[in-house]
Amino acid sequence: MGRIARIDLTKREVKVQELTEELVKLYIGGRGWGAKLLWDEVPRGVDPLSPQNKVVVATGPLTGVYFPSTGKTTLCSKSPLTGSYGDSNVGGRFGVELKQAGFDALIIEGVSDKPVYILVDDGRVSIEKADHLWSMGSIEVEEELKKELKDRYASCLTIGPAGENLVHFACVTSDYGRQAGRTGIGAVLGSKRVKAIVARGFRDIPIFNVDALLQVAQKAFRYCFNSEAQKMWIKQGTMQLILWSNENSALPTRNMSEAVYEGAHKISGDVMESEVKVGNHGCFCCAMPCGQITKVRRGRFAGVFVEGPEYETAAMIGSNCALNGIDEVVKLNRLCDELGLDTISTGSVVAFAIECRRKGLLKGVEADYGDVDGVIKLIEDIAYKRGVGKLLAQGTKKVAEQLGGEALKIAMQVKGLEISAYESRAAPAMALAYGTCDIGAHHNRAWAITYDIKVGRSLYTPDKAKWVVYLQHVRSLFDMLTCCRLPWVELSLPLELYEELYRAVTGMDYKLEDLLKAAERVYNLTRCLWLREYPHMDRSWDYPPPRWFEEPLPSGPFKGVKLDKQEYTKLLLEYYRVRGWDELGRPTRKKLEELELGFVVSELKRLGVDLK
Amino acid sequence: MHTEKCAACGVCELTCALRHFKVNNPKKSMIRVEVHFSSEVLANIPKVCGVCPDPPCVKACPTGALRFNGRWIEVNEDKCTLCKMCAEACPNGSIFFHPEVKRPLICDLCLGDPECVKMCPMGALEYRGH
Repeated sequence: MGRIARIDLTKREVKVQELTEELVKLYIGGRGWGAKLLWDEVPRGVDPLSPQNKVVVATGPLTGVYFPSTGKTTLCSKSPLTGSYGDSNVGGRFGVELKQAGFDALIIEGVSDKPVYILVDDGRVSIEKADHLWSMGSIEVEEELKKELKDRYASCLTIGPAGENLVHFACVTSDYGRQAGRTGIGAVLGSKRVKAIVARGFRDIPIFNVDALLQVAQKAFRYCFNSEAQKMWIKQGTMQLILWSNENSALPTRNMSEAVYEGAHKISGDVMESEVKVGNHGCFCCAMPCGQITKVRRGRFAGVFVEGPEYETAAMIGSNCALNGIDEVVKLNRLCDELGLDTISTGSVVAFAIECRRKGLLKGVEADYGDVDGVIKLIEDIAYKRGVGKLLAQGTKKVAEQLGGEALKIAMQVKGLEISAYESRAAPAMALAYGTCDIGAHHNRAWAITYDIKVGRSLYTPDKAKWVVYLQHVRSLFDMLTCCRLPWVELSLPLELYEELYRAVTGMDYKLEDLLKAAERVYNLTRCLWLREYPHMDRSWDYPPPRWFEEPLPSGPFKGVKLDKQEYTKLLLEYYRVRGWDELGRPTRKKLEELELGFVVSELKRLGVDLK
Repeated sequence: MHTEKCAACGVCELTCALRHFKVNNPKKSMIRVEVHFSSEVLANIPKVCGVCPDPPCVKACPTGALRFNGRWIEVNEDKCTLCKMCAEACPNGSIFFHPEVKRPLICDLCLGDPECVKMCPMGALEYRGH
């Protein structure tokens, strides 16, 4: 059984505890552990940026093992953007080093009076001074730490100025260019004055049956190496999706007022590959290293380099802010990375601010669509909370609530989290995925748009609800096993191999259906975390913003299409039915008991949530 | 070695450690990838014994624990005192140590048929033989 290090910043004390059998057997790892620990340890009503909030940094049983793409780590906390459960995973090598240092997870609690970094050094955990590191950029500070420790192999999680300044969508960066981008966990670390977490270790990662591992790994690696798709993933990574999204009328453009961008070819994977790509960077043990290293060759941004851009960044910062080319995307990607800002939320907030300015809803914004200098300045103002940036640093939902009126319609968010890069007016399953995602509107839990494209863009058939539920379990299982889902999503690596792998690594005789059951358990628990926080939460919380229901798409192959509210409601009710939830979107007692989550029922009852 | 292709995924590292020690531990590998992310050096650099013509590590070893067999460097663990003089002499920084392994980690080409080359997803490693 593994170990957790509990780091109390207030008392400057580190305690080591064993992983419990309950966590291992019922919650698997990663976000499963995060959700359960937050349920147990962070009470209702705690301000996400107060010392009472906690950050769980978790690996999972498959992190770092010999199998394609196992270099993942999950961070979980109560989100400053949504006020409820948040998580975000990050690729790279941090989780591998953490495990090799002898820990499966960290719980970070309390607050330090001065800037610190946490050093996990082969079995020992210490809290180190970081006054000299405060105010550095996310990438800059990683380089500095590696120099100080004289170790190029140590792996870091860092925050930038945006995290220090408590911007609600500040991210956590790892290995120079990977981010746990979503839900503002960078701000939670900033509130605790944790500038970085460094891990290095030399221990073997325990494997129950090495021969069985080698056998299943060989099958999986061979499968990936023989895949044609693998070659395209190495060439362009997620950037190949820009033109795909554009063709499918899903590319967020000008604050998601449009879904087709006339300049898509200037920010596409092809142009990235031919104009700025200099190499690849893969996460640990990846069989399809999709990370792109890019550097601007000429013009005013010549010399700027970054790991990226990813599709999400190029879309949310690029087309959504109507930028003019790949050089500008690289520049803004680097800027956000160094400042420690989630590029998805940042792109959405900037575009929202621009639209508000154009409509006369918000003063103090100077930027406009396509105005790269204005966008740079606005992003810096957000990170340092200058002028209107101070307001915008709270994310679109809180700004729209303060502005009221039309701003509420064009704040492209669900439950406080900005919608990631799939415009879904002509994609009801994807809209449902955003509506019901358990951290707010993120595509990670269910990338259902491919299903919309496959079965029909304007259909609201019940199979779409069923498919979204299925994806929400499979995809979040990857964030519990804590390895990358892309070999399965993009190369169709058979899921059965993960069952074989899980057995080889842990010795536990779980079938795929047992693992999916655990994923369902965690999905129900996160729903209950939302209900505990917001006992009045009902069906209305699971709708995408009014823009998608009220404004038809103005151009492209689906011109005139918008979401149908009645049909969406029917789809949502079907989704609840498939889940075993009531018509308000609350899990039933029967479902919770079936999932061994009976303990939540009495606590919710005390808050007036009487489950059926 | 095609450094420009390396993605620093570390598949080579785990492959090596499993082949030689049968453990899941990239730090017991005889090949390692250094990641550099700066305006001076923006590259992933695989480090592995390139077999110098007149290997300075062999000459530097004060106890005669290293021997060049014409194809790779052989290590005699009984003679090794872990003084690390070999690593200091290595011009490429391609000799590694691990706290649990009582000898330097120097690539032995898997005795002539290197596994890492077969497993590199990027085609960054190539073995031309001798």
